[in-house]
Amino acid sequence: MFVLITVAVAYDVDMTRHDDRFDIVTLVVRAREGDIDAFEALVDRYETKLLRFCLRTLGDRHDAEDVVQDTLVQAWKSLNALSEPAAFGTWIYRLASNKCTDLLRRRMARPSDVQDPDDMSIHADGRVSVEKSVEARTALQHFSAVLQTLSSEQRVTWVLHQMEGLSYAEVAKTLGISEGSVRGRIHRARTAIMEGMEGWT
Amino acid sequence: MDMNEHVSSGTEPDPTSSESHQETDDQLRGVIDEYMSTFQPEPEDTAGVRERILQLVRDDLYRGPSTHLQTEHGHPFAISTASVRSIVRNAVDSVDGIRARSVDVEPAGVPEGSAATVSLTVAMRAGISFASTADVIRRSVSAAILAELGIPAARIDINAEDVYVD
Repeated sequence: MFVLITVAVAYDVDMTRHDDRFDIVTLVVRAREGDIDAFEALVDRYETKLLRFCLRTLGDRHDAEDVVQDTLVQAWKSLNALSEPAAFGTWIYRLASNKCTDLLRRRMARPSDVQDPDDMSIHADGRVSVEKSVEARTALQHFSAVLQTLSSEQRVTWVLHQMEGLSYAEVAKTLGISEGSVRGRIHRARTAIMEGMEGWT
Repeated sequence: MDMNEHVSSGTEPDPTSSESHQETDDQLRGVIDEYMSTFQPEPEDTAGVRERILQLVRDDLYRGPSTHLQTEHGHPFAISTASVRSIVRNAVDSVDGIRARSVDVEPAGVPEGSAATVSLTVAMRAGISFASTADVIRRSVSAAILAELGIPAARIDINAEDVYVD
């Protein structure tokens, strides 16, 4: 019988809160061969993080849930396209980022969906919506509205860095763009936010 | 223009620098923190999404490929490839210090499908003796295939591709 040992190196084990028996490479390799338990462990590991990122990027719970669902189902169907299983985390964020960007673009392409910061408010459950009255506006409501005036690319990039805590290099790797582009997008987003929040801070 | 003013204009801070960003972030810290806590998913938010995702994945799995084998009496049968791999994975995982990764089971023997060849990649715990453990893995996999599928394993190739530390 044939035995081959190719690699014998230690690696960082990134344990999950639900199934901590397996490292990320093992889970990805098994999931792409149809192991639904392994894929479930990946969902457990990434679903909340992805939902938080999408919520903050899109500002809408229903849209965020749809994007997370589409992202993880697409991941299941295209795991074979992931050449390096250890890069699953970056890959899944890229899928989600692309879907958020597409959705934001579609929103902006619909004139009725383009929102003016002065016409926005947030419902008690955190959902942002257009309302005619701006009475009782809070800084949070105005900030949410200002975020929606950013371009889709700026918004995704800014949220990844500012709210999800990724470094410029990590954002660049996630989005597949240069670090210089990340720096430029974040600078333009910050400038727009500061201008939009003038008088509110 | 005095020297100080000249020097100052020549070393104007980069507006994209982290120092410049820190200043603007500090001004907005309160509202950013409030926004982040507002858009923080609760466990009940993820439960429904998780179930929908897993249902779609299960539906997709049912449409997956099958492995075609034969009983010892020559009767052909097919079983989902994912199930065959699962049988082998469970047998490998039952060996102390070994975690199955990739599993491939191909029909073998004459007639084809009366036996199976198995190729595995595994991760092993640091300190495990591979040579002796490989024999344990083979025995475990052979027994599982015979018990669950009713056919012998003609060949079992094992590739230990990683080492883990508990």
